[in-house]
Amino acid sequence: MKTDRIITILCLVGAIVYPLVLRDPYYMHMAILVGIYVLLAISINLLLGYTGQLSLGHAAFFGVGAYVSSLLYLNMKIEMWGGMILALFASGLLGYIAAKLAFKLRGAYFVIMTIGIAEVLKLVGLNWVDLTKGPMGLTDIGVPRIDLGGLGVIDFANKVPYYYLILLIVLLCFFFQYRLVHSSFGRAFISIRENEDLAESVGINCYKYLVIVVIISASMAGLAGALYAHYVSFIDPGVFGFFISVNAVVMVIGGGQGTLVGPILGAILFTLIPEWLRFFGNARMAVYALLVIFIVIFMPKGILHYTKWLLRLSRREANE
Amino acid sequence: MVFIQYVINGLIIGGAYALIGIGLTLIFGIMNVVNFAHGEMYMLGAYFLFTFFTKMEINFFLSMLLAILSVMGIGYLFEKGILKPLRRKSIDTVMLSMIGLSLFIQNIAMLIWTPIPESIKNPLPMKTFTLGELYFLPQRILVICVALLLVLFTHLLLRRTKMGKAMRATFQDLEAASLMGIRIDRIYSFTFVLGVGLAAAAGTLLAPIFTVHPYIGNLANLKAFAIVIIGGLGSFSGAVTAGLLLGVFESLGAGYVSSGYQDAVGFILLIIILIFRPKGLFGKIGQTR
Amino acid sequence: MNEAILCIDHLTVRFGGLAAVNDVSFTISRNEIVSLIGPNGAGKTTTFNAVTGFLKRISGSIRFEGEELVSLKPHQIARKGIVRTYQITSLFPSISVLENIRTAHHAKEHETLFDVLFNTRRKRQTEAMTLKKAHEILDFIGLREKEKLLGSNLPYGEQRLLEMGIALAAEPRLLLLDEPSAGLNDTETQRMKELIRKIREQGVTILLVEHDMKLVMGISDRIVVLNFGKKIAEGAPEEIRKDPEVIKAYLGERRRDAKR
Repeated sequence: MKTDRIITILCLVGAIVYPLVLRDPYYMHMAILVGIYVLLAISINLLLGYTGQLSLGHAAFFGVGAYVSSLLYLNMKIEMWGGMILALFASGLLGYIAAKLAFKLRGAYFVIMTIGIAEVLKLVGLNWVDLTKGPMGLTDIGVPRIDLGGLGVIDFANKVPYYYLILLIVLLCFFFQYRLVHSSFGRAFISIRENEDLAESVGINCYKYLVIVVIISASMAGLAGALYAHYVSFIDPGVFGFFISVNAVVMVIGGGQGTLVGPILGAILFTLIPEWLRFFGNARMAVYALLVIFIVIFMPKGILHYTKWLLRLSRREANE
Repeated sequence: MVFIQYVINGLIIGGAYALIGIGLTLIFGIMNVVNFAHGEMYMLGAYFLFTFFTKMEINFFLSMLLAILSVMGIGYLFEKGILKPLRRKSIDTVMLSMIGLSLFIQNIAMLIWTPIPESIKNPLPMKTFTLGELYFLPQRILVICVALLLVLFTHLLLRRTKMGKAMRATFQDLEAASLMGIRIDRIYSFTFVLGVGLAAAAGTLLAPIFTVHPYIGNLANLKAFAIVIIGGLGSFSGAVTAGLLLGVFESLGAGYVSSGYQDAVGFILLIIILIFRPKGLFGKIGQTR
Repeated sequence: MNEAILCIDHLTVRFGGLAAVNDVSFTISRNEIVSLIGPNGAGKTTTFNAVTGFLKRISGSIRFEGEELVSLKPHQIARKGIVRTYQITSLFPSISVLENIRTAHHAKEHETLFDVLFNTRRKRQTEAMTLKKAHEILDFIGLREKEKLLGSNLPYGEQRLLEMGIALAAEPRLLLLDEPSAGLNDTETQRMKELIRKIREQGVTILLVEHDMKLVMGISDRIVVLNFGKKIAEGAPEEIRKDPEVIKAYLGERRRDAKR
C-alpha cells in the first residue's frame, strides 16, 4: 500500500534526523535503549511471531552476548567490533545447543526449558567469580574511537555516534528479517506455526528450520547484549534476568507478533511506558504488571492491529 | 555421618518443596494452567505469617493456619476473577497473564511490606536435639511433620474422597468428566485453592528458616516448575519424589560442592529430564502436551 | 500392466497389544487409482500413517520405486514423491490461499540463506517459479479468484479443495487421499471426483481411503478391503461388490449399528 511506504520513509527519515532535533542526553539515552530492545524484539518475533515458539529465556542469549563481548574486551583487549561479532557467534552457538536440547519439546515444556537455561546461566554468572566477578559484575567496558585523521574523531563514548551505530545495525537486522520472511525460509517458519504435521507431509524438515530460526534469533539477541554492555559499560548477572526475557516478549505481543513492524513499535512503546509510569512512584511496576496482563488478554494481536481496525471502523462510519 | 545429616536436611526442605510441587502439578495437570504466580502464593504465605505472628502477635500455629487460609481466599478470588474468564484462551495467553499477575503481586507486596527482608523469630526453642551424631532443630522437625501430614492429607483427599475422584477424572479426560456430570467449575476452584494453599503452607514452614522478602517467590516458582517437570506433569507421587530428591541433591550439592550453585541443581536436573525423558519420572498421559 | 511403484509387504502396526494393521500386503502400479476401504477402525488411516512415516514402530516393508520407506522421516518420504491429505481439515489457517500453496511447494525450492539475504538471481528465479506453480495449481483446482482469502475463511468444501492443492504443490508421484469426500455434498463430491480424475491424467498414482461407495466404485481401478487390520479382499470394483467376505464385513457393521 502506498501509505505504508510513505510511513516507512517518514519513520526512517525521522530516525536519521532524531539526534539533530533532540540532542538532550536523556532522549538520546532512551533512543539507544529502544534500539537495543528493537534488536531483542526482532529476535523474539522471528521465533514467536513467525515460527510460533515462545521463549521466556532469551535473556540467556542476551546475557551471553553481553558477557562474551565484555570479557573479550577486558581480558583480551578486543575492541567492540570484534567483540560484537564473537558475541554473535557465541550466542548463536548457545542457540544451536539449546535447539538441539529442546527439539522434541513444544508448548509449555519448551518455554520452561528456555527459562531453565537462562536461570542456569544467571547462576553461573553469579558463582563463577573468577571469570565474571560474580554479583559485582564487570565494569569499565570500553568503546572504540575511530580516528579519521584530518576529519576528526568519532568517539563512541558519545551518545550520538553510538545512536547512529545502533540505528545502522537495527536497519540491517530489520532488512534481514524482511528478506528472511519473504522467502522459502519464512514460509517454512510460518508452516511450523500453522500446522507442523502438514508441513512435514509436504516435505518441510521442521526440525531443521526450527534450529535455523533459533540460531538466528539467538545471535541477534546476543548482538543486542553486546551493544548493551558496551553502552552502559557495566554489566552483572542481571542481564540474564527473567524480566528482560518477559519484557521482550511483551514488546513483541504488544507491538504485533508475526509482523515486520510490530517489534519496532513494541520496543518503542515498552521502553517508554515504564518511563512514563514513573508518575506512579513506587507503584510503577505494579501498574506496569497490570498493563502487561491487559495487553496479553485484550490485545494479543498487538496495538498496531487494533489501531488499524479502529481506523477502518471510523473510516466506515465517516463514509456512511 | 555428615552425609546422613545432609540427606536428612535435604529431605526436610524437600518435604516443603514437595508441597509447592504438588500444588503446581495439580493445577497444571487438572486445569491445564501454567501457574507462574505459584511462587507468589508461597511468598504471601510467608508474609501473612509474618504479619499475623510477628506483627499481630497471634499464636504461631494459629498464625500459620490464618496465613494459609488467607492465601487460599486470595487464590479463590484469582481463580474466579482471572482464570475462569481466560479459560478459552490459549495456553500462552494464560501463561503470560499469570506472569503479569506474579509481577503485580510481587510489587504490591513490596508496597505493603517494603522490600526490606524480614525474619520471623523462631517460636520454638532454638535448642538442637541430637540423635547420635545427627542434629535437629525443632523448626525443621516441625517442617517435616507438617509437610508429611499435608502430603498424607492430600493423598487421602485424592484417593478416597468424592472430590478427589472427580479431580482425577477431570485430569484424565475433561470432556468425559463433564459429560458424566462433574461440575468442572467447582473442581477448578477447589484445585486452585488447594494448590495455592499447599504453596502457602510451604511458605509458612520455610519462612522462619529463611528470610522473607518480596522476591522469594521467584526462586520458589522456578523450583516448583522443575519439580513438576521432573516428577511428571499431573503426577502426585512424581511431585513428592521430585521435591524430596531436589531437597536432597541441593543439600548434598551445597555440602560437597559449593553453596552458590545450590539453586542450579534444580535447573540442571530439569534440563536433563527435558532432554531424556520429558514426561518426567512418573509421567502420565494427561491431556496436556 | 504398469510396474508396481508401491509395494507394501507384510505390514504390521501394533498399538499396545492390538494390531491395528495386521500382516497387510498389496501393491500399487503406476498411474492406478486404488481405493482402500473397510469398516471404521479397519486400519486404513493407520496404513496411511505408516506409509508416510508418522509411525515409529512398524514391522514389514514399504517400498516406493524400489526404495525402503520404513524408518524414514515424514518430510523425507514427502520429498521422495509421496504426499498425503488428511481426514480432518488440515491446512495453514491464518495465511492466504496463495501462501498455503506456495508454502507447500517448499521441497522444490533450493535457495540458501545467502541467496535470500542478497536477493540473488537464484532467489528471484525460485520465487517466480513458485508463484507461477502456485497459480497453475489454483487454476487447476478452481480457487484462483479466492487466492487472497485466509485459509480459515474458506467454506468447508473449498477448504477440502485447498487441501488437494497443498498436496499437489508438493509435486507428488503417489498421492494418498484420506476421505477426500468427507463432509461434501453431492455436487462437491462430483467436483472432487473430476479433480481426482484430472490428477490421474497428469500421471499421478492415487491411493484413496473412502467411505462413499459410489465414488469408490466410480473411480477406482482396483480396490483393497481391510477389516480389523487384515486384508480380506482385493480386486476390480465388480469383484469386490460381489465378494461375500466384503459384504459380511460391511453388513456386520450395519448389524452392529442397528443393535444400538
